[in-house]
Amino acid sequence: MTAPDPLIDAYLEGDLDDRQALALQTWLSADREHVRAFVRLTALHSGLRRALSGSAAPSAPSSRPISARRARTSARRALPRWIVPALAAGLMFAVGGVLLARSTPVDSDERVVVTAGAAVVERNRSTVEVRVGDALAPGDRLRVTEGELMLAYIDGTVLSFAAGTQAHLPAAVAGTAGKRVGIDHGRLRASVARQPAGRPLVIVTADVDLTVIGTELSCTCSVGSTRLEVASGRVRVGRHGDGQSVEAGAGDYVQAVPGQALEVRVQPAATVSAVALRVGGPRHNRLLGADGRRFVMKGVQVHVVPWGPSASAAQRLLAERAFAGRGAQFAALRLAGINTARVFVGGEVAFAADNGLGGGGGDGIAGYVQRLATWVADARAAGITVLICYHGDDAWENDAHWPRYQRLFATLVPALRPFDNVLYELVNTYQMDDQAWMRASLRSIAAFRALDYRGPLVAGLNHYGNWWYSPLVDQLARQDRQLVFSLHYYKWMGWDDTATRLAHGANYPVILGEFGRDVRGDVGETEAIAAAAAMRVLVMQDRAIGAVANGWNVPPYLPGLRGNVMTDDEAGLMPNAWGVGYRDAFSGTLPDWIEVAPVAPTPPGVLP
Amino acid sequence: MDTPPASISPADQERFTRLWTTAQPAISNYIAALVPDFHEGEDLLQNVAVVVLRKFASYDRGQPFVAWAMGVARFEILAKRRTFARSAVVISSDLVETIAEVAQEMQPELDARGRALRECIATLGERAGQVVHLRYAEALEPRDIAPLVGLSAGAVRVMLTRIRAALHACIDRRSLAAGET
Repeated sequence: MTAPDPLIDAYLEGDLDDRQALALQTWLSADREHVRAFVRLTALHSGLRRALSGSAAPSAPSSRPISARRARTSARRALPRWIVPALAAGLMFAVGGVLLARSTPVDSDERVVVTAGAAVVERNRSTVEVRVGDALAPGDRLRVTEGELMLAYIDGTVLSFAAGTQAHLPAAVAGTAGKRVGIDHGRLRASVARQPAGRPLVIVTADVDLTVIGTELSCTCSVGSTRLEVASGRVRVGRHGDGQSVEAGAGDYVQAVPGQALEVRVQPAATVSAVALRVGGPRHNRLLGADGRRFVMKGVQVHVVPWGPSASAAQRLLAERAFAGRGAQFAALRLAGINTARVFVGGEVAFAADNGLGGGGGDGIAGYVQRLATWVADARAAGITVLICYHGDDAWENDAHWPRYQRLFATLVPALRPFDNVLYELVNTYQMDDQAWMRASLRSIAAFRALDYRGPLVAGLNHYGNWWYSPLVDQLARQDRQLVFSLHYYKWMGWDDTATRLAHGANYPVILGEFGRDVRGDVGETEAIAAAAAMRVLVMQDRAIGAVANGWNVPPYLPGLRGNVMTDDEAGLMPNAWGVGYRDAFSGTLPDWIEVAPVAPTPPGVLP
Repeated sequence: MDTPPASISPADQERFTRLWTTAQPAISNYIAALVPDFHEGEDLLQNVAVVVLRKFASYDRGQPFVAWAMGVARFEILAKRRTFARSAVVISSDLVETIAEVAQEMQPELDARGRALRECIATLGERAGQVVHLRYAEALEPRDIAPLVGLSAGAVRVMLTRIRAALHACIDRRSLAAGET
């Protein structure tokens, strides 16, 4: 049996902690066969109850009366704190640590466990099968028998081995430090968190060492040949035989073949990912994934911008926390049902030469973009789409500031091109003259298209779309067929009115781009829930794409505003419905619920 | 328990009883997968039966009754999951859907395994039989069982784990022998 029995046993006995629960959920999600194994065991549990309930005791175990039975039924346990930013990778290590004894002491950063799939491992001259939750040890030799094997390190680094791959974890070598993995033959994809200075991850093949600081890559190895493709970051390729070394960056590939010089080449365009999401569908009002399926946006605002010296200490601390723990945060977001993270970019830190990000070139943009790219790579690995929104000054409408906005995006868009999980948002502002809004929108669209970005652009509406609708919107929609219109919630009836006009009247793709309790006090929790619920109705009617809650890790400089997140797991109103559970991201507490009855779809073009 | 709606005819009541009897094992297994606490699961099964009966008039007889009733159960689980002490809160909505499908697909197999289970229980030793009885017939938690059998709660948990593993293996063997895997 391949089930992680200790986890299922703990589940049956109500003893799962948050980390084990996450591990169990990950295992169940990985394979339908896992669900079948799980159902067999839970059916055994309930079958025992059915078979024995009401039966006579086989013998009296004690003269003590059983009076306390069922007492625990009424003593409800607290809900697992799913929304606490969990150490997603760390939990796997906790589980794996109890499942496998280690033969070699391993630095905690180098511990690696199976997070999906299975493999046969040769260890200490014996053969064992490793499964989800099992830890691996230096010296282990892996053979991936079927499916994909995923391994995770505690820092969020993920390695995925294709079926048929043979790999090994080299035993510790004196004088070396950091993670090491060897590939005998087969295919490896890696999403590598930034490694500590002097402790890079090294992928060892028969021919070369690939030294990785933090990047996303794939590596295909066969006898006498290693091919490296880099999606982001930089990788140093060092050949064993002659010591030749080259560095490959995003979009590059290196084919190491004996007798031929190592050479860095540009990957053919087809191998570089395009933006996966497109506006489409029968009414041209949906976002569709690469597989043609409708994408329902369940987003949350994530605050990671202020890294540099211009930010306050509190801002920097928050950003560093978000950045350092991003693997765990992304995992926690996914567990909450979130598929989109909206992030502000820009601000002084993006441009300050002394922002500490090693930008060079007279300003800090290059380093800033490089760091953001690693964040986007990690989001992609977690299945999170990133909605990038410029924030920080009035560049949208101010001609004097416009050039630096262009400069940032001229660096950012090419850097993020390899990623298929990026959307860009235009015009995040509140009060503009209508014509100024139109002009800002048009020039922003033109700027992105000039950078050869062909994906959807999220166009923020003037006045955040609160009681505002202008024929200019129709004009703008005609300019570009890949626009998605975004409203923000400030007065929910206000945006609801505009959303209804956009969605029902014009069949435009619409999102609720930001909603949450307002620190200024003119709207509250109840209204926020109502706004989200109203958007859900539009989503259910296939009239809107989804919404973004504000926010996940709320900056401490916004006193009174706690983190909120929409989740699916309170979606008790209607099966298959998009949830508007709206709860504090850190305490996990839920406010009162506002029920929303299903609404019959309105025929296209008809205002309700 | 609520009374059924007055509008349901005797013929419908009989039809409902027949259909429910057929569907109940699958629904029970589905609920057990998501709500392992016996009392919560049993309460939920009762609620589902009540809701299914109430909605029986709207049941489209062209559709499989089990699938329709599972839909009702899924709705009840999602609606009630916040009140559960444990269990369903750790399973995502997507998995709730998948488990519903799998439980239906596996029902013939689970029926066979249920029959084998009754035979396997009879093979348990005396001490294992005591612990299983206290856990499943009396619905005691391991910590409540521990003083009754002179073991620590941890040892009871380990014992239960081993008993379940042994029963699982026994069922596999019997199913294999009967060609019912």
